Amino acid sequence: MVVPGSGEDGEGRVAFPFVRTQAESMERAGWTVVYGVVDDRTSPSGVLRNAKKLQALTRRVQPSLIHAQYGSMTAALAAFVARSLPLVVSFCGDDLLGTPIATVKWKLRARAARLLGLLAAERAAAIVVKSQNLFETLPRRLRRRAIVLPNGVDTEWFRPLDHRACRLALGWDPEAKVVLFHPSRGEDRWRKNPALAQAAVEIVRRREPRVSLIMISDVTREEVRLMLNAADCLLVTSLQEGSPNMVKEAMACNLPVVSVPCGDVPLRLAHTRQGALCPYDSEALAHALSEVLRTCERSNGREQIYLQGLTASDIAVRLGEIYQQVLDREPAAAVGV
Amino acid sequence: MQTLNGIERQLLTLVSKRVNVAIETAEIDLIETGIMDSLALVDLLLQIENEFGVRIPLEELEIDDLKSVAELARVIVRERGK
Repeated sequence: MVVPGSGEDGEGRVAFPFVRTQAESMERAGWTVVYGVVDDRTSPSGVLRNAKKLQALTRRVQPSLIHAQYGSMTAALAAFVARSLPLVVSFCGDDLLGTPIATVKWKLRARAARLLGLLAAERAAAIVVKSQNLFETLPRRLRRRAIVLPNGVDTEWFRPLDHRACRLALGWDPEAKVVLFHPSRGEDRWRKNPALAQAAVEIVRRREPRVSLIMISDVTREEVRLMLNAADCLLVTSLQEGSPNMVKEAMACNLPVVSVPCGDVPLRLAHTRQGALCPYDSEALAHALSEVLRTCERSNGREQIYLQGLTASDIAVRLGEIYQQVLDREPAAAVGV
Repeated sequence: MQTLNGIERQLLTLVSKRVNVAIETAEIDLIETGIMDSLALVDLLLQIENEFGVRIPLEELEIDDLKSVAELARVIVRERGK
């Protein structure tokens, strides 16, 4: 049973694409996946309602194990309902790292959420972290049960498509130079460091006025795929990350990535041609962007996704091995309280 | 066997520590007063299970059963008696 952080679409499906991608690839690998969605993590009564809902679902489907797809409240509720069932907890990024620039209230909440996730992880048979920097923030006693395993990319969906046709579909100017940026919302928006991205693009625009900075925001998965194929570059300026899915999805579409060294991006880009890793400096980023936009060549990112074992099916195999190890060690006891 | 008062005292210490607020009485409504938000509530329930060695039967409880130290103590006594 998979417990994602939150969110269902209108049809009751899990709204987080990366959770869906992982679950679908696990199903193709022979596992049966049932979602237990947490739709309220903020009010005490909503949390109690969700805990009851998860508990009832657990009783009904009698899963072999429970996998919380996020730390914080999601992991805690999963730990609560798991009882004697083996529990796997995934930490994704801000659930361990917090938010770099935020109000005091938000920072305190983020700290409490982190501690809650770690408390839940104490009950976990296995812990998955998406990148090495997340692994290093775990308390030492938890590291023994932890493994670094990024999310995989759905390479059937995110694949190279005709650049011009994608621009036409999106109604973009075929002659414009397009830089993509993936912003975030609320208190988390500062983590993506949009000011640095805007500053870098502004410098490029002085020399090349046709450059547009387009935000990947409020778009469908189909539109994301079109954008990654229609754009000329993805720009990443985040202050902190785990293993950003957007970078891997861009790579799968052979879109060049210009990024600061955050999360596992340096590892992903180490052997990727076109694109660059730059310091947190608008001039350096602008220089790298200009180089990419000058040639407008696609990258070898897709090849790297395969070489680095980051397709959804590669990751499903590795996650399946983790599940199996957990089940061999802790066979599921009778479900119940 | 720990008495209800003993459990309340132990819980008062635990709750005060977890929410960083000195809780004066067992009857104070932790949710209504905003002392305990959703994160603190789940954190406390996990801590209670660890410290008191009981399983909190969420499916049998309503939010009122979790709102104060006195109510939580009653839940622990009841679960220990099972």
